[in-house]
Amino acid sequence: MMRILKCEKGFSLVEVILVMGIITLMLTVLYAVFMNSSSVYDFNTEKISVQQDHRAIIERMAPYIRMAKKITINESYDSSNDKVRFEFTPIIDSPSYNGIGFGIKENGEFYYRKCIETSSGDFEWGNRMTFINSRVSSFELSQDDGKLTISIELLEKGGNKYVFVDEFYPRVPDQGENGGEKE
Amino acid sequence: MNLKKMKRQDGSVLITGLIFMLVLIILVGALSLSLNSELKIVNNEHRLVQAQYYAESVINYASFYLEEDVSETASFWTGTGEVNPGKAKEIINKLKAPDLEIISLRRMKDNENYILSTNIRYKGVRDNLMVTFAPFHERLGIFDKAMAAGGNVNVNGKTKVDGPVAAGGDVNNQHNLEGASDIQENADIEKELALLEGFLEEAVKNSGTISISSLEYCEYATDNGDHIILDIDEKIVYITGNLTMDKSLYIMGSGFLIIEGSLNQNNGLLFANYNSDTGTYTDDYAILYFRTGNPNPKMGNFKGAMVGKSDVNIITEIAKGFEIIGAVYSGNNLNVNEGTNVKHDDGFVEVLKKMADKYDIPDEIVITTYKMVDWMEF
Repeated sequence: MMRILKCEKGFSLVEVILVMGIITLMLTVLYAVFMNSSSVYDFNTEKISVQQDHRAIIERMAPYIRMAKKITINESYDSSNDKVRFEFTPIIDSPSYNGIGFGIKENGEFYYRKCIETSSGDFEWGNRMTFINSRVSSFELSQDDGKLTISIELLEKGGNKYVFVDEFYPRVPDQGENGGEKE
Repeated sequence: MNLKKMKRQDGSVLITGLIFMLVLIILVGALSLSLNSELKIVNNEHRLVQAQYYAESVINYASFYLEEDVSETASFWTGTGEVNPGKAKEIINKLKAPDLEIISLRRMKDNENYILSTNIRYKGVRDNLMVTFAPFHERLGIFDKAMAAGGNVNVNGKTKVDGPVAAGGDVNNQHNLEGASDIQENADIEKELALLEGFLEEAVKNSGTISISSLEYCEYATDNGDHIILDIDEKIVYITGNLTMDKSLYIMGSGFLIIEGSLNQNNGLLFANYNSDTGTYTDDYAILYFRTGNPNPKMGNFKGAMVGKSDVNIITEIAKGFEIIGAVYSGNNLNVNEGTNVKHDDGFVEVLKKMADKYDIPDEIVITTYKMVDWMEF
């Protein structure tokens, strides 16, 4: 009976306070770790999302840059013109197209538009199509000795800005007005 | 009783351990899945990019065989325009890419252009590429000059030049030179002049060359009383001795006149592709080449190019309205004497090209290179 009573003996107040203190301390540490991990996770998710958008832009642009016979970069542009236009030999598709333009809409959406073949056999620039989630705050291009440098500043929902700079080499040399014919 | 409790405590440790293990396994599993998926994405990206560059390499390799004749033994192309299977394997070996499969590599002709198209497969990824090459004719820079000399250009009196002048050394007395669009001194043209001379030397050795000891014994020369007409059209006429002139010589046609010995111009002037009766030039260009000596030609109306291996002392009587339409080149010094009038006209380059083709003369004066003018991937 004495043994049973011994077993039923409770914790002292000091013990309980000590244990609660330890538990509180552990919970605080755990919470801090959790919050930290959560923000890291959010940051990584945002980074991945931005990187995916950047990759989507580049993968869409790269083949057209390689194919381009003529590259036109506009300093200022509006809804009827684009920041950059690549023109190439018509690509047979439905409908066929011989050019593609890229730019930013007024609301920061990044778009492309194709120069598509109309029924008469002529080519006309079509509608602007958005294809990424991120907004783009800056889209700049420059050409130097056959190298095309593209700088894109992507804006995430959190307001962070991510700048990507890519370099490309169009495969077909710029042929100018007379198609590059020379003696 | 104590032992029993001890056992129960052992049990709770085991369960706690198992739970930890389970959590760890789940974590590792999730990480592995995530990594696996990342790896797949990266591998796929790698294969796509690699396939694209392999397709580009295949086209690059094939572009060296653009003009190859299929009748040649072990040629790169078969009669259908498809690559020889043995050569396709050679490309794979050169690229050290055993996983690469060249499904098709084809050469097509579109007027003057060549189109190469390829379809390759690399680790399950296919890539198609079609590239168009167009011919570009590049020629020696000296052909753009009215006068060029490996040494100095000495302008010894008032002369008129309509076109650029270049000298490996100096252009002396430039104040006498009227109308030159550009004067270039210390120009790097020695090699180009050597190539032109080398080309004309090859012409001398050509089996189709007509060798004569003098104009008297030449069946293409006609004596018209006060002048001699020499027809060199599409011919290489090689005078193995001196060219002695007692009256004016009219060289007619697009061809080569090569003189081995001296030019003894006792009387008369040197004309080319000029009709004195009508006072007009023909469409032809004559190429006159002095192999040795230092010729002192007195020129009438001359349409074509004059090339001297050594010094050339030239004069045209501008007062009489005479002129050289074409170009004058000297391997060493070019002495331009008072009254000389040269108007640059590069039409003679076509004659050089035509003669090189007709007589199969190995030349480096006009090189045809193919450049990429269109690139399509799909």
